[in-house]
Amino acid sequence: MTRYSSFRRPQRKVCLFCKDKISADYKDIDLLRKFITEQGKMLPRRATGNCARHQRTLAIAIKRAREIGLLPYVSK
Amino acid sequence: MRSYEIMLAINPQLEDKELDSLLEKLKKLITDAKGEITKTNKWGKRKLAFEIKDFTDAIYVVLNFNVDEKIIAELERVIKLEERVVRYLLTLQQKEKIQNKDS
Repeated sequence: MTRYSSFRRPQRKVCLFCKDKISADYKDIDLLRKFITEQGKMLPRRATGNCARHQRTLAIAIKRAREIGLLPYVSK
Repeated sequence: MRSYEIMLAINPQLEDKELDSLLEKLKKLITDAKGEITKTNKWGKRKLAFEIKDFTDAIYVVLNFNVDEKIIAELERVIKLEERVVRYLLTLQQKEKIQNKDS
């Protein structure tokens, strides 16, 4: 019983793009790198805490960066 | 008229002179069509995330320009035929500006 009562919902993350009022840009590699795993995969929304709109623009930005060779499709 | 942004990944073995002549050629194509170049940003040599056409590096250049949309097809054709350009990415800028206003 104590196990259930001690359960705490993890704190809700705020969308970084809403907070800083910036938009995802495919040229800003350092920023985009925060949203991909070491393997180069995009992180899901539940991990990034982004809002739906910004997650969508972020996904497009990452895909564009991959197309031009700034980010990997896969790394190892 | 629409505003575009193009990112070019260029053969890293090119010398500065050749690079300038290549950019000049592309810019001329835009200005001849009554377009205007608003910004040129040379990033210089960068490592590619993966090999493209056996290159591990590329010279990155970003061009911002306003041009009539009819010219884009011709511009893309020229860039595709240009062997010194390893890869390019053409994006429309206006749409992104609208998105910025929304957010």
